Amino acid sequence: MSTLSARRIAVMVAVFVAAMSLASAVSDVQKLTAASSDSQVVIEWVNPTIEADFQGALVLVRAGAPVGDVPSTGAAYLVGEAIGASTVSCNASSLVSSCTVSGLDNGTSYHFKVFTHDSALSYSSGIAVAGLPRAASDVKWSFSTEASALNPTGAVSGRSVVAIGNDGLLHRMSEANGSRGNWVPPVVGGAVQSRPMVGDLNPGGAADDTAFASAQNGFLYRYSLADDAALDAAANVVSDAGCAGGILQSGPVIVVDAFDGNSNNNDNVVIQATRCGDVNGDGTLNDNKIMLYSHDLSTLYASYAGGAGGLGISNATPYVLYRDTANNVVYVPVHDGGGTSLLVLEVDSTPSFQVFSTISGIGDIDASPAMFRKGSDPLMVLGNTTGSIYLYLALVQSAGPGTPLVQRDSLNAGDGGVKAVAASTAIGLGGNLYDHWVVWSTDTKVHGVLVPPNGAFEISTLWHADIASASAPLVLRNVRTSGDVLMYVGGANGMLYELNATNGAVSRSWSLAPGTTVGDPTFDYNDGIHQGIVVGTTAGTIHWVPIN
Amino acid sequence: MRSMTRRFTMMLLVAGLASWAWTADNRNGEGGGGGINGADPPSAINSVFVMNQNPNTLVGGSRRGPDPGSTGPFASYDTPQVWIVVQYDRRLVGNDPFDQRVTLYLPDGSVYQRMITPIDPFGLGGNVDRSDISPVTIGLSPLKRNPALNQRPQAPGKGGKPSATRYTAYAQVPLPVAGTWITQHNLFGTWTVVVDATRDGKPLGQAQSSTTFNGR
Repeated sequence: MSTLSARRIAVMVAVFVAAMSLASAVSDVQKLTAASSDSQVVIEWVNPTIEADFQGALVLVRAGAPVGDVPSTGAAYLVGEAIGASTVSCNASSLVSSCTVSGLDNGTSYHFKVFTHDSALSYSSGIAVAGLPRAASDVKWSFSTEASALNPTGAVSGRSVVAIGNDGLLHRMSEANGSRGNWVPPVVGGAVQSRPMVGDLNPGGAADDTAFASAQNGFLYRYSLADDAALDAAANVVSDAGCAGGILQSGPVIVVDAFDGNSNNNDNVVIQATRCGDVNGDGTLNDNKIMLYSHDLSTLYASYAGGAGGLGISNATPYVLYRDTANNVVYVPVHDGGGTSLLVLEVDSTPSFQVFSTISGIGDIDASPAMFRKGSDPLMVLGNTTGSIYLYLALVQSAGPGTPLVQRDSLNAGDGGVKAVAASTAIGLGGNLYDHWVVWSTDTKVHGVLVPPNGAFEISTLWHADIASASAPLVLRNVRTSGDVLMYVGGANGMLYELNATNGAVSRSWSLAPGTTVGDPTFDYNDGIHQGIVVGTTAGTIHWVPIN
Repeated sequence: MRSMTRRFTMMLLVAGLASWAWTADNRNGEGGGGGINGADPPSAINSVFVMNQNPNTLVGGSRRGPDPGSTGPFASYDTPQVWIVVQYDRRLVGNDPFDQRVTLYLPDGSVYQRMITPIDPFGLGGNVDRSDISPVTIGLSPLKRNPALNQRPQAPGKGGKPSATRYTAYAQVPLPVAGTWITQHNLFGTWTVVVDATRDGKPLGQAQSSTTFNGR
């Protein structure tokens, strides 16, 4: 036999062996997550479903460094057995899709890798995830996702936290330890960068926990939050708006009992604003619409395309103001491509939109409005991309229907665009007089200013604090001591800060994920006992931080 | 025993086909660029780059080609979106649909987003139900040809490889910029873009590039 023939046979044998290997290997697990809590990490996944010979999964763990070891073909392993520098944490059957690892050292990073195998004990290439157990007093739990998660989360009262970010998976975690339990996170189909709107659509009756999420692929999705994780409905909003190829950047708002006030949920509606490209080719991004859907997304009741100049793009989620004796009102911030910066729309009983007010001439708005009440008068705070903050009477038109709201005040802190605004609840002064603190974030700072009983900014109280890449601020009162006014904000250095909202002094901070950027915080008090901040990071990990 | 014999015969057939396919891929000797590593077939991906113009709007055969400045860095606040353009060698992608996965890494090393797009090399379009990437029916993205894209200046060392224009086709993925987390959370700096293509779980190619978003 010539050398060439021998080499050819050797190559054929090698290819054959490789083909055998490919034919017998099973796919890796999917939707792998890690929920870390006090001295414990819960690894959860979805098993491959199409391979008939899938037999189970082997979970390896290594402290402090990624798992670089692999199980050997044909070898069976016991829990606790060492493979190189790694240890077998779980040897799960095909019916199991989680692995709880306890007795871990708090503050130590644990790296896991999950390998599937078939009946011949041929192992897949493996999927990795990491967890960081910490003392419950520091971080109650953290939950890993597969891509950045910077938007605020949602919460179902007393039951769960709901999050979705750039990984496009709708996650539902236990408030107790962050694990997902029976929930198999469904694919949403696009990145979601706004808060998922979650809640019980049937309060007082059988629970109808539901989530709405607006994705950058242009779809608005409605999911049941029951354990079956079913897609209830989807609306192709950008297509319905005539701008296929556009996206949804801002979130949806749900108006409960929008137009008839009956106790059924047939009058719950969903409002969504679009971010379309230049549809008509006039060189201006003014071809957007505000869409009004039925709660089941089956019916597009109405849409509004702005005035004569059209409607600019929407990046910030609208705000709903409920009224007892008049139509509810929705505040929709937009870019001024159509000449309007804020649209205020009533939802009437048709159901359709009626223009309550338009505000023009204040530029692009990328921050959702904040609202507070001075006696019977709600006030609205709005910030634009050139750094100005405006204060309006939220329900007082300057000259009748459709005209601008009455502006009470404005100021510009002079350090760049307003990323987000928030306001405190009323601080009683006695005699039916109240103070409120308004706070906002820019590229490099957070600011605060007092709105005293006269309903205008008290410039002498203006403060700022240096926080690079500050997230949207969250203002809370009475967290630790009666009367305190605190704000929470994420930063670019992996930190979550607690500041005194009356002077900007940092009172506490948490190093959640060094080297990453921390996103927009959410307050969670749903169990009625523990107050916490839920916040994500660019690394995709969501943290539940106790604050009381 | 008969079943085993048949399986063995099938394996030999698979091995033979794999061997033939390897030969076919390399028969013209113009693969260029090498594979993912030295032992793999040549990559079907020529290059990946980022531009702030819709590649569909570039005029083929234009002498000017795209604006050289459109390859970045990008002024984030003034850039509504960019397009991640993946150029393929049509000789190496085959005929059947495959998956393109674009992974975007932030300057801090985190994964900003992974975008999986089912690609139809023939460009016939059509819809697919892919519950692994979308709960609703989605369209297959076609591979397109546009000579103007080949006129763009190639940044050195960005994972590209030379290829004759007539064999080149591209797919695009939009990435919104202004008003997204990129500007809301100052995710500025140099990003890494990694694209890989797979068919039935087997790699077709991989390429890597970078782009910069600044805070203007």
